[in-house]
Parts: sequence; structure tokens; C-alpha cells
Amino acid sequence: MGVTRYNIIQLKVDRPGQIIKFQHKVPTYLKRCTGFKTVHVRGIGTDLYIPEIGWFTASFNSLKEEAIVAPVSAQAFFQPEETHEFQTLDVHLLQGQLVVGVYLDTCPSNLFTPYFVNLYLRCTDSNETKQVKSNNPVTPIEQKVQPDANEDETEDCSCPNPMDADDEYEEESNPDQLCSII
Amino acid sequence: MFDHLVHIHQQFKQRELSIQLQRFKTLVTKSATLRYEIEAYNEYLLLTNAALLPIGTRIISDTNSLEVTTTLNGLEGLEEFSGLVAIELPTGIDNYPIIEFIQIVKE
Repeated sequence: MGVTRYNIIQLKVDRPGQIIKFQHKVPTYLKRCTGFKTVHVRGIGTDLYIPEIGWFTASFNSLKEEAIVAPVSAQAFFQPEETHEFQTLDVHLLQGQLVVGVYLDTCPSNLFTPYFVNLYLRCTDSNETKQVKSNNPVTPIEQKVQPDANEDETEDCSCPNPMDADDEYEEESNPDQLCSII
Repeated sequence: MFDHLVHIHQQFKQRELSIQLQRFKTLVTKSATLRYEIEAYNEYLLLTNAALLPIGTRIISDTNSLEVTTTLNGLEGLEEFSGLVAIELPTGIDNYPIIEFIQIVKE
């Protein structure tokens, strides 16, 4: 397990429609960026949630990899907690290269007051990527509800009828199934 | 003298991108239309005549944004746009410009 470090890029927006360019150098010991988050820190006071006050775009490794295009929202003043999780990113960082980007303000002009926005980059010094098991063992119960390989391949959801006495279907057997029986 | 094409080739070589096509692309603007959109997905548009555009013109794309200001006069740099490129002209202009880009299609 590597260590995780958060890089913060903070920008101040002074006027409506402002375009702010930024560049940032990620410390060389960090090898990968695994997530990002855009946050309105302070400035715009609103009774209502505003889903978009601006857009971040950013590229990694000195313009080699365009990885982020994301809006920034403003929370209502009585709900200041930012609830959004980090969004997933998987960028291998080349040493000493730049993160380059632009912030574009799109806040409605009647709500605009100068404000601060942050772009958080979650990076790690580990090169390991999460291992995704591609050959999960299939349990006997799951095998029962899988469609026959010889059936029409366009059918993506096949469930046996629990009312059918000949079938050994168990209703609680697969709680993850997405299809329902009418 | 700054050579745009040499600069572009150096830039793309540094970024390890191969160029499949490079050509000029122009957008002729007309009165009564203040907003234009160009689709430049998987390609790049490099603005060559920013200094000739009306003050207040905005070019907004998925990767870069630009507002033409008086400070742009005399600068030779090329602004690069990609994705959906929206061009917004300011109201009340007399001369509608021809906007010129160098279009780069990558491999």
C-alpha cells in the first residue's frame, strides 16, 4: 500500500464569466492520480443548490493526457457539507510534468459574488492498480439463472418463472438480479 | 520570427502525438449570429488570428477557454482548443471577423 497525498489547486474568481488558467506541478514522488474532486469553497451564498457555477478542465503530464472536465456546484448555505465523493481517475504521472488547466465561470450573474474554488487531486506514490478479478468463480445458484448459451444472444435478462413447478428457482437466490417477472 | 508550423510540430512531438492531417480551417461570421459551434473531437484547433478578433470574443472548448482582451495584442502564441468549440462574439460589433484556425487531426 502506498501513501495517498492530496494536491489542492485553489483559484479565486473575481468577475462573472472569468477564465482562469492554472498550472501545477505534482511532487515527483507521486506516481499515480486516482481521483479528483471540484469544490466551491466559499463566496457564493445561496438558499438553493446551484448545480453549476463553473467548469474545470485539466490535463496531465504536460498536455499529454486530458483527463478532467468537470462542473463545480454551489451548496445551499444551510447545507454546507459537500457530499460528493472523489471521482475516479487513473493517470500515471510522469516525473516533473505539469498539470495544466482552465477554470471557466458560468455562475448566473445575478448570484455572482467573488468566490474560491478548489480542485483536489488524490495521488499516490504506488504504481499498483486495483486488481479486478476477471475470472470470478460462478456459484451453482448463479449458474441456474444464466441464460443458455444457445439462446438468442440479444436477450440480456432471463429469469425463470418462480411459479413454474418444474423449475428449481429459489426466490432469494440472487438478490442482485435486475429483471422482474410480470 | 516565430514560425507557427515549426512550433506546432515541436509541441506535438513533445506530447508524443503524431499528426495525421494539418490544414487551415476558417469560420466566416455573419451579422445577427453571435454564437458558433465547431466539433473538434479527437482533433485540435489552433487559433491563429486572436489579435484580429473583436475585444470580448470568447472561445470556449472542452480543453481550453479564451476571452479576447486588449492584452492579447502583440502576442504570437497559439491558443489550442479541442472537443466542442463554442465561439461567442460580443454584441454591438461593426465588423464580423473571419476566424482562422490551424486544424490538427491526430493519429
